Parts: sequence; C-alpha cells; structure tokens
Amino acid sequence: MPDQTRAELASRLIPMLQEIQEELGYIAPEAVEWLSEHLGVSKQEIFGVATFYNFFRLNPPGRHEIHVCLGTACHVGGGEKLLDTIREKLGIEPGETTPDGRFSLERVACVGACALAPTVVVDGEVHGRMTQRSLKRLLDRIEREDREAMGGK
Amino acid sequence: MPKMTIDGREVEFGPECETVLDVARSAGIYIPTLCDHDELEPYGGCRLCIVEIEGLRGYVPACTTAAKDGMVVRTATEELMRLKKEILQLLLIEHPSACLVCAEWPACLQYRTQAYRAGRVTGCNTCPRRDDCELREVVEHIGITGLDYTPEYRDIPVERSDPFYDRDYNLCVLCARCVRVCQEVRGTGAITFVKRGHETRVDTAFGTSHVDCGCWFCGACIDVCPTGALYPRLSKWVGMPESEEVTTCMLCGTGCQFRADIKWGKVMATGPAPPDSAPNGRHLCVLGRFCIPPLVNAGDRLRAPHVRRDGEMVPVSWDEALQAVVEGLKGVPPGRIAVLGGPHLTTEAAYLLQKLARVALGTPDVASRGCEFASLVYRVLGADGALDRVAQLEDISRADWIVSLGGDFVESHQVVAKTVYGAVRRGVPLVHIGQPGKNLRRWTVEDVLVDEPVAPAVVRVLVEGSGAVEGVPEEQLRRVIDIVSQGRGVVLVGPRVLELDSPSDLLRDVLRLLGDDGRLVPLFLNGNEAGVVRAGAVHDMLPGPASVAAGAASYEEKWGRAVAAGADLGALREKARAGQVDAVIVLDGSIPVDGFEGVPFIVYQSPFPSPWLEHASVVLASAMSIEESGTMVNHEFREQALKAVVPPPGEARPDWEVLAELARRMGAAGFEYGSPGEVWDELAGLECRVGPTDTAAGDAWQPVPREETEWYPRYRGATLAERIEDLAVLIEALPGRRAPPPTESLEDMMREAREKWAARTEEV
Ligand code: SF4
Ligand code: SF4
Ligand code: SF4
Ligand code: FES
Ligand code: FES
Repeated sequence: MPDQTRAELASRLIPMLQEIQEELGYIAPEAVEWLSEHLGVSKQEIFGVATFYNFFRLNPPGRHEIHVCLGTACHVGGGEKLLDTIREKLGIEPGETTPDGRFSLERVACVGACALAPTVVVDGEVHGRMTQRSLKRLLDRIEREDREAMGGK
Repeated sequence: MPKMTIDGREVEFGPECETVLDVARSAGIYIPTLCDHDELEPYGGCRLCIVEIEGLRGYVPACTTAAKDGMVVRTATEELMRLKKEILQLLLIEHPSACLVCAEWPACLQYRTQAYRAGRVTGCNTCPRRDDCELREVVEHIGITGLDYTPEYRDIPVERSDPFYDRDYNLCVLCARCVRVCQEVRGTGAITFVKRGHETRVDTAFGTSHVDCGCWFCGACIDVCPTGALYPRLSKWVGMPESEEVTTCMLCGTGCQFRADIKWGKVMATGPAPPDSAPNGRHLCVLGRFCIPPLVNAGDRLRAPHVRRDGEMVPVSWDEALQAVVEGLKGVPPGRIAVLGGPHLTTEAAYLLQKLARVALGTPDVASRGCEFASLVYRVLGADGALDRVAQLEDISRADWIVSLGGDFVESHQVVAKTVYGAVRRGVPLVHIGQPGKNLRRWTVEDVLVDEPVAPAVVRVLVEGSGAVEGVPEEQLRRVIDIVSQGRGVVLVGPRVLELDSPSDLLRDVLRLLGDDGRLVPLFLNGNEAGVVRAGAVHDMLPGPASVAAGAASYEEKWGRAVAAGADLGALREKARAGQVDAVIVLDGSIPVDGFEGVPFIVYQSPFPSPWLEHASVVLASAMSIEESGTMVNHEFREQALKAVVPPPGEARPDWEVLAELARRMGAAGFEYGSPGEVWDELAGLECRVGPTDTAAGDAWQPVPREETEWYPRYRGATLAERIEDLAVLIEALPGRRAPPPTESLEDMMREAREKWAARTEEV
C-alpha cells in the first residue's frame, strides 16, 4: 500500500498501536515487524509514527518504573542531576529499560508535588527533595529488597 | 498562458510549473532552498524558501505553494531576508559551521588544498564536503557572516559500523531528503525521522544497523544530502576529483550510466550520471555506487603478459606472449580447441572472440558462461519477430499493470526496482508470482506464493483467463486475471526462470499474456549477456544473432569457412575431461576450471587472477570495461557506450586489440581493425535471424542451477563478495530478507513478544 501519506498511515496505525500498547504495555519490535507486514509499510515508517507521539513507549516497562520529574520546579531544583545519577547507575537513558527488565526510566513533566522538588516517582510512590545521594540509596534499597524476595540468593 | 509577478517582473508559466518555486526557477530567479529537491515531493520543512504573496497572510514556502495566475510574489524584501537569516542561524547553531562564516575561507581554499582526515567533522577543514557543500551556497546567498548565538555541538556518536558509508548526524540539518528519497523514490523506507521537535533525528526502527533495517546500500540518500552527514567511507578524504567521466556499469544487465571521479589517474569514486541518462537517471545500485573502485584498483590485477617456462610463470613482452600462443596452437586440430568467453566482454571483444574461433582457428566450439538468458530471449522472441516487445524502462512507467516472476527483482535489479516502485506509487497494480522478499511484499497488491516450477502454470491460467493451480486460492487467481485483463501490461521475467525445464514455453505464454501492446523486461543478471549473444560468442548462435540453421550459409560465404553449431560449455567440459581437448583459450576466469585441468595448452586472458592461472601456459593481461571503449547491450537491448576513462594497469591491453592481433599473427584475413569502432561497424548492421523451427524441437535446454541464477556478482574471475567485505555483509543478510510472510495473528505475535521478553529477563 505505497500510495498513502504519512497522515493517512498514522490514522490507520494509531488505533492498532494503542491496542498493542494496552495489551503488551509497550510497542515491541515484534509488533513493529508484524504491523510492517500487515500494513505494507517499512518498519521505519511505523517506528517514525510511534515515536512522534510521546504516548507510545518503545521499551517494555521495567518491574520498577522510575519517573524523574523535569517540570519547572524540579528542573530548577536539579532534576537533570538526578537523571544523570540514574544514567550512571543503571546505564539507561529515558525511554529505556535495563536489559534484565528490572528498571525502566521515563522523564515526566510536573507530577504535582512542586513543593517537594526535585521529585522522583518510583512505582507510583512520590519521593520528594531528592539528592543524588538519597536517590542512590533508594535504588540500592530496591535492589536489596528484590534480592531478598527472590529467596535471599 | 498564466502569468505572475515576481519581484516586479512579469513571468509567464506553463503547466510544468506546479509551484511558485518552479515558476521563479523557470525565470532564473534564485530562491534559497534546502529541503526541496527536484526528484522529491514538496516538503516545506526548512522554510528558507519563504516568500511574500499579495493577498496571503504571513509568509509561505514557495516550494509548497501552488502557482496561480495573477499572483504577485516578492522573494527578497528586507523583512524576508531578516527572517531567512534568523531561520538559517538557528539551523547553524547545531551544525559545525565555523567554516561557513569564517573570514579566512578564500585564503584557506587556496592554501589548504583538501580536507584533513579526521575522526570528527568540526568544521571546514575536516569536512569531506568542504568543496561542494550545498549548505554553503545557501549561507553565501543569504549572507551570514557571523553567528549571533553560541554554537552547540550535538556530540552524537558517528555511525561507522555499517557497510560502505558513514553517518555523522552531527552535520544533519534535518532536511529529510534522505528519508524521502529512500521512501518515495526507492521504496525502501530504511530510515525515518524519529521523535519530534527538538529531539527529531534520522534513525532506523529501534536504532538497528542499516544491514538489519533493510537498506540496500544504493547510496541515493548520500547523493541527495546537502551536507557531509552521509559519506562513502572509501572516498571520504579524497577531495575533489581532477576529472569526471560518464560511462556504463557492466555489473548487471541494466547497464547504468555512472559518473567516475578520477584523481591521480585512478577512479576514486563513482556516483550518479546526469539526471537524463538512460536508463537509470540518477540512480544506481550498491555495485555501481560502491563496488567499482575496489574492483578496478585491486592490487592483484594482472598487469603484464606471462608465459610458463619450466613450470614457472615469467613476465614477457606482448610480442613473446602472442608468439607463444601462436606456437602453442600450431598443429592442434580445430576439433580439439575450445574458446570460452563470458558476459563481461565488450560486444566488440565477444565478436572478435567468436571470429577468432570460427575463422582463424576454424573451430565451432566457442561458448560463453552466463549468457543463457539472453540467448533464450533472442531465440524465443526472434523466432516470433517479437524483439521489439522487449521493454524500455520507460514502458514500466507507462504500464497499466505489472507482473513479475523468476525471482525477487528488488534484490537482483535495484534500478529496475526503483522504476517499478515509481509506477506502484502512482497506483499501478503489481503482482508477483513466486516468493517475494520483505521489501517487494510491501509493493505488491497480490503475492501468488508458489515455488518457481509452478509459476508457468499460473501464467497459463492468466493467459487462458480461467483454470486452477494447486495451492493457489481460486479467488486470488480470479483477482489477478481481472488485473491483467485490462490495458497495457509489463511482465518482468527474472533469471530464476532459467531453472525451469522449459523456460521457452513460459516466455511464449508471457508474450501471449502481454498481447501486442505489452512489454517484457528480461532481467539479465550478467552485464553484457545480450551483447555477447548478439556478437555470436555462444555455441549455437552466429553474429546478429543468427541461429546456425538460419545463418550458416551466409557466414560460410562471408568467411570462406565451414560454419556449424559447436558444443556448449558443459559438453566442452566433458570433452576436456575425456582428453579430447588439446587447447583452450579462456577469457572468463569465473568459469570453473573443473574438467579442463588436464588440457595441455591453456591461454588465460583476463584482468583478474583466477584458478585458471595455475593451469595456464600463457597469461594475457587485459583491460576492464572501464579501461576500454566499446559497446554494452543492456536488457532493454539498448546499446550503451563504454568509455576508457582510466588507463589499464601496467601493460594490460584491451581484449579486442589482443584478439585481433592474435588472429593476424595466425595469418587470418579480415582482422585489420584500427579501433573497436571499426569492429562495431562490422557487427552493428547484422540482423537477428532466428527461424521458428530453431526453437521447436525442445532446443536441448539444460536448466541452469540455482547458484547461477541468484544475485552473486562475479566479474571475469573476480568474485565480488570475496574481495569486498562490505558487499559480503549485505549478501549474508539476504536470506533474512527473504523470510516468508508471517502467518501468525496479532494475538500470537503479542504472546510471543511477551514470552521472548520474559525469557530474556530471566536469563540475565
Ligand atoms: S542507501 Fe539506499 S536504501 Fe539505504 S538508506 Fe540510503 S537510500 Fe535508503
Ligand atoms: S542526513 Fe542529510 S539528507 Fe538526511 S536529513 Fe540530514 S542533512 Fe538532510
Ligand atoms: S543496476 Fe546493474 S548496471 Fe546499474 S549500477 Fe547496479 S550493477 Fe551496475
Ligand atoms: S515540577 Fe516536579 S513536581 Fe512539579
Ligand atoms: S525549500 Fe521550501 S521549505 Fe525547504
């Protein structure tokens, strides 16, 4: 189906991408491949549409989802530094998931707790007035708890 | 005629001018542009072409605004120029642009003759496009001499791990030309813009390599990029060529025109020829775009004639070498000599090769490798008086429907594929009979998924308008019958039909399917197949080509020699194995030696070494097609000129010259040629004469094995993938691209994705 504009493609594609994200939690490479075959466009064309909308995530959510706030208050309060801390410690960029599937990282704009800036939300729980050091401690604690939960190995 | 006023000038314009930009250009009025490109659809991305039009609010891009009668346009008011400066400056913040605004530029150009080799491009002296930067033209026109903002280097890692070209997106100005040419023109869609706004960049899905994203390494993206972001690795630091010459690529049957960039007496790079070059315009495939310099400049090219003395190969003069050939052939009975050619000879050389065999040596045993397809087409179409049914590539653009069979042409014939995609994009239905790869599947409206041996049955049903084929849904056949029953068709026939027991029956059915208006595209795999057959350098055809039955009498008269059909390559091999061959002259090192090892006297004439060297008594070093003039006949039967754009290495000489001299030394008359042009004059006027009876009796057809019908380029002893590592990487990826279409449902796919992820996370 080559004679279609990007807008036409997007209008056919978006509902399907939504369905897949609802089911899988993200747009998997397999899904992009599948859509490419069934819609007759290249994987790249699909990926281009999917990344155009912030709504779609292209990495599986980790077992622990970390959202670093970069709204105005948190940005001023050092949100970028917190992001760097995670980059360093987990080796992932916003939008990515660690290879072991344990953590995923997202950037968000204002979670409505500006008084506590800078904030980081982990698994839905807001942590305020974070410093690089307290963030590291938080991540260490989660890892420790995980290990214990897996049978103290 | 409609007219408009541009900058106070009245300009008339015809229907060929669709946009305001077109009209301005037709009148010679320069409007700076960056994203616009004449092969691509208007995009309106860079906004450097904004103009003021009376009656329209604000400023509009000239490239996307339709031209209308009576418009009053201003292109360079003070306010417009101020805006353009601003837009361009914003773009230059991230583009390493010191060179563009440097006051020392003229002096620099004079004293530093070319860019430095550098890991990273940080400005003019380290940019491979230093001397022909399109961005610079725009900067100079708009008149930016300094930046009002602090430049910011994006610091994106340079992508260097894919074959053939580097991608340094630090230089990218996001004009989207590469993305658009790959999607709109080549139909590949290997790259895309990902994300949006400030984060926009060119990338592949999930950032995979270009090998994995389906890129064919055609180089079209490089050729449209206005910056140095995309650059062929091999020629990155060579600088401007000393001269440019246009000649013909012989690496497949399309015979594309390409530009050779010459420096230091060598071809350093190749690129697209002028836009109106037939048949390929500005487009090439990976072979023509990247593989010619490494082949031509290979260190192991044969540079001098050699003879074997006491088991050792020693370099000798041409005189000695040719004398050794004459001596060696003396006294060998004609029935015990074999002369072997191949599809990469010029038509002139092929003609002289067969003339040497048939006239000077008096043997009918002249055979060529890799010319079966052209031979078949000449025989079947020639017997029907239907040679004019062979398509020109423009016929594809005019077709109402297209059917392809005989293999996946996107893989084997990229330039033909690009032409087909142009039609497909305009809505012309494409049906493939066979097993299409992923890229081709995206273009087709119907895939009749059958194996090669079943394709003739499908074609038969299409011709008859009814019938059934096992394994093909009836409704699908009906839909395809509908498609091919209206208007003018084009059928692409690929080399895999040669694997059939009787491809001539299939070709005849294809002609019936096409009717009088339709056209056939025979996708010859090997360079000058058509020219070599036309020259008569095959065992069962005489020049013209004429079948032996139809042409023997007239050639006997012309040459004063008995003319008969010879043995084909396979039969000659068996003859040699049985010890019935005493001498072989071989001009194509890609013919396997197997069976010929024991022949006492072997003459090997080629630009490249091959296993024949070990067995040869005399080696004659010859020129490649880019080093000699002559003619190549492509799969449209178009005569393409070959030009000697660089000299052959060492003492190597063109084949035609060597063959003519050899014949003269053997005392044969009729070999007094002063140039390949004189050879061409002798053969150009010859008619194709193939009688209907020549093809009737099953014509002793030998199916061609799969190794020789697949895309695996060889050139006279040089196996390209063995020499060019980057090409081998692409070829290794091909089986993955041929994977059959998935049959799983959306749910299956999602379950699999979930399981895969779970398995992966467990492993770690
Ligand atoms: S080389 Fe050809 S196929 Fe590959 S990205 Fe460029 S235009 Fe597309
Ligand atoms: S890589 Fe070149 S062609 Fe592609 S968007 Fe960037 S500047 Fe334009
Ligand atoms: S399509 Fe054929 S002739 Fe054209 S560049 Fe490629 S190999 Fe050469
Ligand atoms: S800006 Fe971070 S919570 Fe509002
Ligand atoms: S050339 Fe018109 S917007 Fe880029």
